[in-house]
Amino acid sequence: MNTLAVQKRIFIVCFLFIPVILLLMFVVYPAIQLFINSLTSWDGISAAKEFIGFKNYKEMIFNSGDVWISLKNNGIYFLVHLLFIPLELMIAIILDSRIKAKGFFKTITFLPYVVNGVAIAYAFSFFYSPYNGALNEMLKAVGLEWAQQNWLSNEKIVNFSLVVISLWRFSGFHVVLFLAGLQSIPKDILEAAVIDGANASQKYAKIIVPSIALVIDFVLFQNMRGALQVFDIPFLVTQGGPGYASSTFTLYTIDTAFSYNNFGMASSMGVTLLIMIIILSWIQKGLFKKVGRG
Amino acid sequence: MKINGLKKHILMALAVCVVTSSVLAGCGSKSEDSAASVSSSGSQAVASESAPAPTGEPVTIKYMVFSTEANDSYTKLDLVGSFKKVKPNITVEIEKVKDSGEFENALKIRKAANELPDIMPMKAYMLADFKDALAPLNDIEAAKINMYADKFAIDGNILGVPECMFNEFVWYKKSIFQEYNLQVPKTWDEFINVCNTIKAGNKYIPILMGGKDAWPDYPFNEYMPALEANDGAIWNTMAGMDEPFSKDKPFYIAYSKIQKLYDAKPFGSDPLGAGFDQVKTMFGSKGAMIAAGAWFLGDAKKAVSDTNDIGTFFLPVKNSTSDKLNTITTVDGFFATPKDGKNLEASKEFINFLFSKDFYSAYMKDRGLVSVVKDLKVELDPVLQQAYDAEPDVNFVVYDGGNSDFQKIQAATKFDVKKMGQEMMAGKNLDKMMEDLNKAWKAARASK
Repeated sequence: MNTLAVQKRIFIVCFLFIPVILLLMFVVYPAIQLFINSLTSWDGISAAKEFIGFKNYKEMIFNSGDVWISLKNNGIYFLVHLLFIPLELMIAIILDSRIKAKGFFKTITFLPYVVNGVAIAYAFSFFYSPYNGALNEMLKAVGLEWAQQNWLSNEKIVNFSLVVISLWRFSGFHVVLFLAGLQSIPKDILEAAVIDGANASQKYAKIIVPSIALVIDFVLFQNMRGALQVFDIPFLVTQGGPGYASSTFTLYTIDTAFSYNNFGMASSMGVTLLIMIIILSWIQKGLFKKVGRG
Repeated sequence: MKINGLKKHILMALAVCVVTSSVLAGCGSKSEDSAASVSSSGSQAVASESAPAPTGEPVTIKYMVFSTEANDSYTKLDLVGSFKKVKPNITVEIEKVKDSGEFENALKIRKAANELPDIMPMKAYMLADFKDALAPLNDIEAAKINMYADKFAIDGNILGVPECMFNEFVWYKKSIFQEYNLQVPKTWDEFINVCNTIKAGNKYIPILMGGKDAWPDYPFNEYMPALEANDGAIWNTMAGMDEPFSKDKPFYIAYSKIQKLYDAKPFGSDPLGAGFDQVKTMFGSKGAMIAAGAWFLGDAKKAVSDTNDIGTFFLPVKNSTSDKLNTITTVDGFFATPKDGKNLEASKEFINFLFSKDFYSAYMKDRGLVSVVKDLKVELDPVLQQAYDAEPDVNFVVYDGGNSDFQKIQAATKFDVKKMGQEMMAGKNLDKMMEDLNKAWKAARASK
C-alpha cells in the first residue's frame, strides 16, 4: 500500500472516530438498552428488573385501549398535515415568484417555527379559552355566535384545535424547505419549458415536482415522524385531556413511565414507535416512487 | 440501491427516535450500577450513621423544593441564613423544581443515577416507592416530637418526617352568598342547591374548576371516596378487593354524589377549557366558590380586594344534618434523606432545624398550615378558622396516598381518579366506567 493510501485511511479513521463513538453512545446503546428494558417489568425505581419476555408488547397491543385512542390522534396530525403539503408547496412557488415584499412574507411564514413552543402553547391556550378567549370573541364580534365552541374540552373537536396549532407552527418550515428546493431548479429549464409552450400546471407537474422530489420525500418523512412523535403541543395545551381524548402515543408513553411507574411498558412503546417509523417511512417511500413512476 | 435506501431510512428513524430512547433507556442505563449500590448501601448507611461528620468540616447539602409557596416562605424567613447561624459549617442549597409532578420525575431519574438530593419533601405515597433508598430517621429529635411520623413508618422505620397537615375547604365569597340570601350548606344536597341558585342568577360561576389541568378536581374525585368510607386508607382497602367499584361500595356511592354535582353543571360553560391558573384569579370577580386546600390561602387573598369577604367551610359531603361530617386531613411534606448520601448527619441536623420551635412556628403561620409537632399549636389564619368554628365536631380522616399493593394495581389499570373526573365532566357514563374498572381491577389483582 502506498503512502498516500495509508494517509487517506488514517484521515478517514480520524474523522470518523468521534462521530461513530457518539453514534454508538447516544443512538445505538440507548436503543439496545431500550429494547432490553422493554422485556422487563421495571418500575423505574427499584433495582430489580424482572424479565417477562414479550408480555409488555402483548399487553400494549391487546389490552390497552387508550394506546389505540392515542395512536388514532397521531393519525389526525398525520392526515391533516399531509393534506396541507400541496398547499405549502403552492405557497412556496408563490414566494419564489416575482412578488413584492417577498422577503417580508418569507419571514412571516417562517416566524412561527422559530417561536418558542411553550410560548405558542400558552398563547393558543388563551386563544381557545372559554373565558374571553380571542377565538370565541372574534366569532361573537362578526355575528357567528352559533359557531362558538368549547375548543379544548369537546372530545370531538379538541384534536383538530391542536392540529391547527401544529399547522401554524410547522407549515412555515415546510414552505422554507420547498423554497430551497425550488431555488435549486435551474432557471433555464423553466425558461425552455415556457418557450416550448408549457403552461403553469405542466411546469408544476413535469418539472417542478420531479426536480424537488428529494425535498418532498424529506418533508413527507418529517411529517410522518413529527405526527408519530407529537408531544409538546398536547402536553402543554391539554395534557392529553379531557381524559385521554387528546393524548398522543408519545404523551401516553411518558405517562406510562412517569405517572404509572411502568418503565418496562413505556420502553416497549418506545421500541414500537421506532418500528412504526421505519415501516411507515418504507411504505411511504415505496408509494412515492410508484406515484413518481406513474 | 433498495437495500441502501432501507438502511438510510433505518438510520434516519433511529436518529429521530433517539430522544425517546435516550430518556427512557437513560433512566435504565444506570440501573445495574444503582442495583449494586443499593445492595451494598445497607452497610454503608450504617457506617455513615455511626460516623458523624466532624464538627466544623464544611458541608453543602441540597434541598429540592417543589412548592412555590414553601419557597417564598423560605426566602421571607431566610431559612438558609438562619440555619447557617446555628450550623456555620453547613450550607444549604435550595433547588426549586416546577411542581410535585416534576419533583417526582426528577427523583426517579436521579435515583437511577444514584444522585438523590440530600433533603426531599416527599408525598406520603412516595415513601413506599423510595423506601429502599431512604435513611431511617427514628433517632432524630424531629421524628420524636412529631405526631404523625411513626404512623407513616414502613417496616418499623420512619423514612420521612411530615412537615404539616392541612385540610380541604370550600372557599366562598360572602358577598355573593348575601346577594342570593344563601346559608353555608350543611349537606350534599344543600351544596348542590346553593350551586343551582347561584347558577340561576346567571351572574357568577358557582364553582371555579380549571378542569383542563385534571388535578383541580381532587377535592371531589380523589378525596370523596375516603370521606364516604370514613377510611383514609381506602386505596389500600380497595387493593384487597376484586370489585371495589360495585354499586354498594363507598367508591361508587361517592362517585354517584359527584356525578350529581357535575350534572348540575356548576363550573361554568366550559369547565375543561381553562386551567387552574386561568380561573383562580376569577375568585375575585366571577367565581362564587372554589374547592381547594389550605394552600389556596395566598391566592385567595391576592384575588380579592377585601379578605373579610372570604369565607371557608368544609365540603359538606354528608347526606343529612344529623350525620357526622368527615373531612380530609392530608399529612404532607415528609422530609426524607437518602441512606447512602454523603451528608447524612448534616441532613439530619437540617431536618431537626426545620422543626425547631422558632422557625417552625413562623413558617406554619406564614403558610397557614396546621402544626404536626406535639404540644405546639400554631394560631390559624382567621379565614381558615371560620370552617373549624362552623363545624366543631368535624371528623378528620387522615389521608393515605396508597401502599405498594395499591400502586401496582393502579399502574396496571392506569387508574387515575383525576382523569376520571375530567371524563365525568365531559359526560362519560359513570356505570360503564365503574364496570370497566371492576374488570380491569380484578384482572390486575389476578396477575399480581
